[in-house]
Amino acid sequence: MLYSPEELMAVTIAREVRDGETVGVGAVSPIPAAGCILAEQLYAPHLTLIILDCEEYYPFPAGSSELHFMAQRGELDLFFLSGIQFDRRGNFNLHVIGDYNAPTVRMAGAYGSAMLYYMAHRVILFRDQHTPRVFVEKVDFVTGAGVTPESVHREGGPALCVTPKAILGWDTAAGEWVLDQVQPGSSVEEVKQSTGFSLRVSSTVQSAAPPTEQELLMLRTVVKAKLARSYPEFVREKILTVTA
Amino acid sequence: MKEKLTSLAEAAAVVTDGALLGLTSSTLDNAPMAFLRALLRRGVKKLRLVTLTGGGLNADLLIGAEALAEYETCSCVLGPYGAAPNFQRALRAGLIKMKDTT
Repeated sequence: MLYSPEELMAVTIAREVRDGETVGVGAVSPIPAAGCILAEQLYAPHLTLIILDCEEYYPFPAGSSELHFMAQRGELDLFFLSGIQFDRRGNFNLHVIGDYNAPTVRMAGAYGSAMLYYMAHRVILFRDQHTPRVFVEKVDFVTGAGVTPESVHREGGPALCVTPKAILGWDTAAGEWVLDQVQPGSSVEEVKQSTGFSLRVSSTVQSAAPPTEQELLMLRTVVKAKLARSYPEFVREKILTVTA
Repeated sequence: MKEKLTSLAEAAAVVTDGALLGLTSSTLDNAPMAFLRALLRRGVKKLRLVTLTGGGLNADLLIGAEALAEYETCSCVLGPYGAAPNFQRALRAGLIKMKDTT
């Protein structure tokens, strides 16, 4: 079955969510939102799933404060973050490209992500592009740090990084990303060439299993319907239509 | 009895050049836009702005009117309408001292 890169990533995420977890999904995160709802439908029926801007999955009044408070109380098991740059040491950048004081690109800002990176027990980074411009040797600005000194209180941190080409695992001892799984249609060589830093390849690197018919069907029916109000453009353009 | 109500213009007059101004409205909602416009009508300059939790239309209006010298926030974005254009333009040009928080 054909599938979009976004569908592939949602399926990857669905397989990584653990049953019984309290999972948070923040703003502008349709791929993790789809992945988590898919997980709930197929693999993890006992999730406490909180998706910002999604009425069915947001038990609080409007605004993101409650989600942030939960993380600060250490109640979030899993959260998802993206960025305009990622580097080998697990840093991500949501602020600027170029000089901080006169950037060529300026983004909205951290929006709580740095705190969430420290306080959620596991964080999955995701990005729909895997290129040397995204995966750089050193981010231009550290919005959230992958590695912090022991004196910094931290409940959790990076767990995985999911792209259409690869699933990177986090080596806590070394404090760096390692290529664990290659997505279907890609290769170790292609992932290495698409990564702007020298990427260590795990000795047990393997190919991720392609999305199954069951996963894609669920994604394109139940999950698509549940997400349609929050992310109309995303479900229209990135989640394919079921053909009889 | 002490009169507790005041006009918009009088309220805005409290904020003088270089003042530290805090706004609790976020991206698009609950911003005291009439008050901010009253400030701009007075031509107030070099304000230092703090927005919690994040800013949006409020900050972007003040920045577009060149009323800010300094801005402290965790984010500035126009919600579903995307990037805040004056904010981004001013920062690329280095016109505002930025203090990013988490």
